Amino acid sequence: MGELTVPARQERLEQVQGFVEEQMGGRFSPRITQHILLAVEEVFINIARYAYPQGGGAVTVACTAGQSGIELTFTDGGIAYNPLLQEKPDISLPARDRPIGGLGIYLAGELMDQMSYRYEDGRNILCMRKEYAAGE
Amino acid sequence: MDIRRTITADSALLTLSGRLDTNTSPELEQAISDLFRQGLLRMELDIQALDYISSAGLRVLLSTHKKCVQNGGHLTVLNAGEMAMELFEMTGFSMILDLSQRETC
Repeated sequence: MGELTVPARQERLEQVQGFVEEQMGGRFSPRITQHILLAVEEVFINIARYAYPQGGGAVTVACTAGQSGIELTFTDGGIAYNPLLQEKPDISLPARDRPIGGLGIYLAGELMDQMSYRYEDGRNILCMRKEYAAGE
Repeated sequence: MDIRRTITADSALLTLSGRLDTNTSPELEQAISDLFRQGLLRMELDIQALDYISSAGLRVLLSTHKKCVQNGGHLTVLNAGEMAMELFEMTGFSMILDLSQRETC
């Protein structure tokens, strides 16, 4: 399946989501498609905001459809950062104690079936999977 | 995203449609801070016609809710669809936000 490399800038979000949606080719229900696109936004925006403090870097999104599910891999050459180590929000807190923000990667993790991170050859590689039947 | 404003003497209804994402949520933040500036602290957001919402949108809802409460106002989120409700439940927002289903025009 396909691969797309774009500047790691948040205005590329819709392009990246459009690419992933096209790659999924209707394999998922509208509801699960939305979940995957949301996870794509959260991961892509995280990279766009933090990977390249000096700007100017790129991110590659690769999409592979296997027998049992779809796999999305985000690769960037920015500063080493494992977003999966972010503290989970305490969703039971009342409004006054809830911090604003910090929900994006948590939601991506909830909506996808698997997420993993590795740093290899100077690149951040974040991989996430969604099984075809899961969650329906 | 499109934002339609219906303003009465002491309250405001914002009807949203399209995508509420990282790139469009600043427009909503701006619209809401305009209302605050006009002293309108009672507001309703009708999100029925939103076809997509991400954490950036949730962030605006929570910060608006807090700001309304702190200033003696109120935020009601109207007509959340399936996707929004799922996200509200996953994030605990369903226990925080005043959610209501009601037809608006």
